[in-house]
Amino acid sequence: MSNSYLRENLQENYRNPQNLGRPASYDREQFLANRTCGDEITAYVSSINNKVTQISYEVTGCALCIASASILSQELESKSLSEIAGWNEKSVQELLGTELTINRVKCVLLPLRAIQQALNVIPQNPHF
Amino acid sequence: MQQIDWHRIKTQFPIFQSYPELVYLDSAATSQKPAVVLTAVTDFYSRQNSNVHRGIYDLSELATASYELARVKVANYLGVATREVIFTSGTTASANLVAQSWGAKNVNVGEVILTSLAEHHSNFLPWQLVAQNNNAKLVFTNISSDYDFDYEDFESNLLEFGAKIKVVVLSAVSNVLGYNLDLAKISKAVRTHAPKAKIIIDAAQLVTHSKFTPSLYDLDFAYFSGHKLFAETGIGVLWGKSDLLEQTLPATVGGGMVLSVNREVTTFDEIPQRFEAGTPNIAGAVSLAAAVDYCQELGMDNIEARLHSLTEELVSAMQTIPGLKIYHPEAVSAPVLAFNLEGIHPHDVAGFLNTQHIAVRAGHHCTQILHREILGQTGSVRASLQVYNSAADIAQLARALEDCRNYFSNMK
Repeated sequence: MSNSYLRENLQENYRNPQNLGRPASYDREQFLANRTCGDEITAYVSSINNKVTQISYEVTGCALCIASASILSQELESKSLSEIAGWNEKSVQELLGTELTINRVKCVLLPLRAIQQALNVIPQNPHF
Repeated sequence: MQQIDWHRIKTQFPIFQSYPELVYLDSAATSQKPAVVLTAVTDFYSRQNSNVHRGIYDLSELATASYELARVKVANYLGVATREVIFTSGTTASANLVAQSWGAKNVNVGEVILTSLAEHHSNFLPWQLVAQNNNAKLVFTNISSDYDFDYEDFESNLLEFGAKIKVVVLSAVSNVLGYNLDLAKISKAVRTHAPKAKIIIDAAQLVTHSKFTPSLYDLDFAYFSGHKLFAETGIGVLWGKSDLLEQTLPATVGGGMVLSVNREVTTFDEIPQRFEAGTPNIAGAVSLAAAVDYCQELGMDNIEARLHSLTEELVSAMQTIPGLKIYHPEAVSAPVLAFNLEGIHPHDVAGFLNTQHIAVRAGHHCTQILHREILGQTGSVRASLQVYNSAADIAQLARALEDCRNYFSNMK
């Protein structure tokens, strides 16, 4: 049925999340949770010479969180660490192409922060 | 019981003129406000505004009279003495007041604070702090497998800890499970087996649908918020037995509650002023008085009956939806219903419902322990009812939940 809750790109990534699952080998992992709603993610990353070579994740959470993790893992792969360090709320909103209310921003930000913390491009912070 | 046109009642709430399509099912978080309450606030600021208890001029007398009249109205509503009604900024402030002013000084090492696994953080954390600071023991009454308060477990806790129990602190109505405590039964059991215990009741979700008379149950302290009962945010009530309040020194101190202040020592005012340091939320108290008037005019009996029948309809409607798990006891109780749709995150349910102009709450509803240990969920969706809701709202919710199920299953 037609409903505006999830845009097409988000639906697709929620239905078939890309890069899902813990890989056989990886450099670092980072667990992060949104305690207010229970979304949880573990990001698994690898990088060589300041470039990301692989991002995957395990996630429990709402559709926005899962879709965001899927889209981000594809977008950020093969980007430089310094570029990823600069990503923020605005970058994610632009990437997802969706207007987010204050209450849902955390859902889509969680995967970004987990990836950034795993890559060590932002400080460790359990309360992201 | 008089016949009330509930559709006309809805028109008394201006928010529904602003948003005619709104199906508001989150009154347990905060209620919408009737025009009479808004008018009372504007009237106060237009014609009576001044600080209270402090001025000699006419305007100040008007403001003081309004504030104290509000106190009298609330006292009459609760059936208690006026001086036992303390205005606070809400349930959370009241709970902290009792815990810090009374609890901190009276709960000793090794004594027991008896509570439940279903408590709202505001009714629990102030006592966790007392337990930590005073080296007291927290004991948690269980929730039964059918989501009710476990009276048997409560009784066995009373028997086990007996005279060691200094505090019994419970919510009269669970803001998630909607169970309605049998306060008479609880009180009787406590007075029998735990002679040293004070009974402290969070009535925040009780007053919204039921008349509450603390003296009927021999309670010691009780509190609630105005904003869930049609008044403004930032105003609440703490009621306490006068002899208890009289023996208690305030934890929050400042202007307006002292007799004499010297360099080293200060003597405090009588109750209730003693617990109202600083300029109070005067307009808030006025709004609460107007809200109490509104409830009394409508008739608390009528409100209770209406919400009871709507709740039954809500539960029935929910039970027809496949894959929907309700967390509430058998006996229909308060107009609060928490649930989950299988395979769909609560945030997604609420987000989807929002596209249909339906407002529900999703998350753990300030009950992390309940969700983790009893429900085994990180969150749930909660719908709650007030006088401006109707069978049509319930039907719309049921339809939208079916649509939500289909939306997500079509995606997989």
